[in-house]
Amino acid sequence: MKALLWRHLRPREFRFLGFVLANLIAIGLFLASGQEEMAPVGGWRRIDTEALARRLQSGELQMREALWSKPVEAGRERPR
Amino acid sequence: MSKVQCELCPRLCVIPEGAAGDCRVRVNIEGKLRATTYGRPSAVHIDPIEKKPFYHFRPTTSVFSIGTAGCNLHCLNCQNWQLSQRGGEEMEQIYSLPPAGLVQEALDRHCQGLAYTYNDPIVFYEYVRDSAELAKAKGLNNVFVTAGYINPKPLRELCRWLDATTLDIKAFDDGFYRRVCSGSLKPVLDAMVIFREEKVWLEVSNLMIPSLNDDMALVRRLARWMRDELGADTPLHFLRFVPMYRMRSLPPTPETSLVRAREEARDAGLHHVYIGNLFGHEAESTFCPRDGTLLVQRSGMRVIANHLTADGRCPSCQQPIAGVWH
Repeated sequence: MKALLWRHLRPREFRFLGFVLANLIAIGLFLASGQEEMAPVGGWRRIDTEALARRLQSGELQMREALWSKPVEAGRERPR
Repeated sequence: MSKVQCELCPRLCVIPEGAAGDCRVRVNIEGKLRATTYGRPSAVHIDPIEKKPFYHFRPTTSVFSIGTAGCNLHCLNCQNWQLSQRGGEEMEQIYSLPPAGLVQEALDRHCQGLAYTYNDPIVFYEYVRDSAELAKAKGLNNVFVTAGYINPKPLRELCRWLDATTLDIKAFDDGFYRRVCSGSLKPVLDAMVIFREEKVWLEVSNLMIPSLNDDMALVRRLARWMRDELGADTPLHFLRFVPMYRMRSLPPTPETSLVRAREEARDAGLHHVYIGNLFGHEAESTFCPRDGTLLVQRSGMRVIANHLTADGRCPSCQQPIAGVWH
């Protein structure tokens, strides 16, 4: 049955099947790239360091060392 | 330039010197990660415990409630965005309330506990830990109001000091977490299981946002997961959404959606399902799951009448009702 169907497909239909397949691949790639962009990443944020320094100096904010942190090697940061 | 990695939450931020983590309040200063809001809350109130919401944990008690700047989620519908989506250096109001002072204030004002709330207390972890330890020694309860986006190790460590938690699950849908909260679902589910394993009293809330997470299929999946993983006695609160922050164009949740969600969750087998932010609704009250007797009548987050027996049973059928009642 499969062989029969294959024999009766015309070049025009092959082109159409190729077109459908290309579209499906394009949609798949688009969705996959979107997922990657939406994934939560461990970034960092630029802050107003002058305002922070002022408020640390006045005692409004604190220099308490945080738990659950470790030093890392250079080149791994990703800004948000 | 020394970089540090914060291992507190699943983001695992790698932070260069002079910058903050994604939460805005854990800052790399001279190569060390600093908790800048330690002992420096920006919101301080005395609340009834029902407001958190806790309906099965020491009803009618008052909790001294604090929140700081910062959050490790960025929900587009945030109800406290003036606190949570800002860094400490951006706040107009900062109070000086180190752990010992905080505990003393709570005692002076005749509160029965401390509530770490408003923004997500995960980002002021060290302040919670030190305050909770002192509070416990003075006979106060520690209640934690969180979205549960935290790594397992720090959470288990913190559980030693916590008595109860309300965990707000945003939706039983990873896509929703990514689109609306810039987070993910799995760590939140893991956190709920850890609270249960560590024997911290757990209540779960879910803010229902029209068209975004009010699909009844999601409600059924959440309820079945809770029944199987946390137990049918875990209270679930469906909260009414009020347009806020970057979601002002959506309407408030219709009462019909909340009522239907409650029915679905009860059909899935959960015993205690509530509706919140809809004052005067009968689903604010606790009923016996066996015979339907009204046990704790509430209105507007206040307890009107408590008919439970002294040992937390239904007065009609003697069914024990899950909770910490005294």
